[in-house]
Amino acid sequence: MARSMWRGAIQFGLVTIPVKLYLATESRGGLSFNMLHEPDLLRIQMKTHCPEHGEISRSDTVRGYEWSKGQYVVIEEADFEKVPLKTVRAIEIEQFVPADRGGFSTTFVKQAYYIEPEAVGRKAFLLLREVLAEAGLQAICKIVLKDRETLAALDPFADTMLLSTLYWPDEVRDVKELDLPDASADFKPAEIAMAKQLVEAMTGEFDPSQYRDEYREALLQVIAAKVQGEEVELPEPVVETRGLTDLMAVLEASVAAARRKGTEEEAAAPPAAKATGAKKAKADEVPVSVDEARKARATRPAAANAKVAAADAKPAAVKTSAAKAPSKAGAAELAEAADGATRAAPAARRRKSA
Amino acid sequence: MTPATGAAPFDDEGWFFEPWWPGRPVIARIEGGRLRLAMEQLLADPTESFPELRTLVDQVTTDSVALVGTLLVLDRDGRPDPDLLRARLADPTSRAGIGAFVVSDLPWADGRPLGDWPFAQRRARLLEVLADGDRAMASRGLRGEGRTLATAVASMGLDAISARRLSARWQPGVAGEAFLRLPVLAPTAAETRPLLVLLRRLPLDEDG
Repeated sequence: MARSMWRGAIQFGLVTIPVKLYLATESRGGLSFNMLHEPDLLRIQMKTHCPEHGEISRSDTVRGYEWSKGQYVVIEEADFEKVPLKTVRAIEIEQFVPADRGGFSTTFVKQAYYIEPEAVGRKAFLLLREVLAEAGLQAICKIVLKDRETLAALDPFADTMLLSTLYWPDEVRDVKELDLPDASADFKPAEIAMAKQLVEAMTGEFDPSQYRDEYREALLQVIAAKVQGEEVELPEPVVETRGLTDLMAVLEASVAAARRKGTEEEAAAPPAAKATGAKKAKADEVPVSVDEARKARATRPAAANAKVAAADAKPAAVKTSAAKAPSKAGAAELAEAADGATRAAPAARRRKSA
Repeated sequence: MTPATGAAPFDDEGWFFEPWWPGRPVIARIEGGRLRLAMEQLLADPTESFPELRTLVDQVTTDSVALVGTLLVLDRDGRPDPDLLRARLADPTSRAGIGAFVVSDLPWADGRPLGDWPFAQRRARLLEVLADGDRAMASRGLRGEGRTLATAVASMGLDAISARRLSARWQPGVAGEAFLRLPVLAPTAAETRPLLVLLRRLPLDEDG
């Protein structure tokens, strides 16, 4: 059920016909695309932003007119109603003219609207329509749409009338602005005859339904090929960067690497707290990835992990993954805190003797 | 306790060495389940600027604690970025980067001061009291091996390490015999390994 976008009345002389306007056309336009952020293919969001308050809701906005630099006056719906112009709610017919197919009034059409008369105006509406159709006339009128007064033409159309909004004459650019060839050129009769033949061969009745947007179809084919041809790159589910856990893992890896370097340089006693076979095997594989560091921590002596489990007593808002336990074992290794025996020290000593 | 600047990293079994994280010193107080942050030269409470640190309250296993450490802001690759930190502090509504808190000392816990305890004991208590979290955890370091840590830290692109004497008590002001900042030489190009670039996003169902 279409929604009318304007209500008012056709006015001329003493006649008033209450009507509603509906857009006669809708734009299918091209295919619509979404804007994505390239690295992660997430849809971007447009936020309304106030320089003072940050992100705000659209419902908190009003329209303002800048009457002087930086000075605004707020204009509300009520103000628009107060505009003292009779065409605000009326289609004022200025005059009737012969309905010309090709003159100004059809060439520079902006938008077409269907007219639907209100119940009380039905008879008058149909009468007007009948008269225009029989006499071959159209009505030139003025109407206020979207805060602008517009020139329009009213024509009988199907069971109703069509209101076509037109560009104002001063909005129509002069043809003289173009670089056109001299209109009076000499043609040979044979040339004219041949041109006529070509044109007549393609002459026929205009059937709009025969035409469609072929570019759109072609583009859809390209898209389909891309969807099937290559693997669709689904955006990776956004995992929160694991912040400090990862940072400390990098530190551990750096320390291990620094120790290895130290061992190579000194060829001395085995480095303290060298973690596990897994890590040893990868001794030459630098850099160490977080994955490997995690696996290495996971295979550490169970004793260290058990003690750590106790420390994870209240991880409520924190990610409870096994990554935390191994990380604490890392703490055991790296911290080597105090002489006053802590959990850490015994774990370290145990490994040393292993 | 503010550090004195030392000459160079050294090895000493009586000291604990940690990376000098590029952030700002901050004290986090947790009282009755509420978190308050305090930073020098900042009048306003920065707690509102770092909502991601609220998890700290759940990570602490006791009440009435003060945690001393470094406030960092990590970029998308998990690297601490001082510029992002500046941006966050300048604009309380900014949510640039990821806020994180690395804790290095525990001067107060269970409602009583631990200043008389040796650092080693305070740190042990810290490890008991603070469960590791992604946004806040106790700082990691090495005991005794200052030079090894310096090498490790240099390869991460950081420029200093901290050294704390394990037997030292908490002292106000500059405590050069207890707390040092030791500059670290940047490694030569051949030694630099882009370890910090290795941080990868892992699939959600990875179980560590």
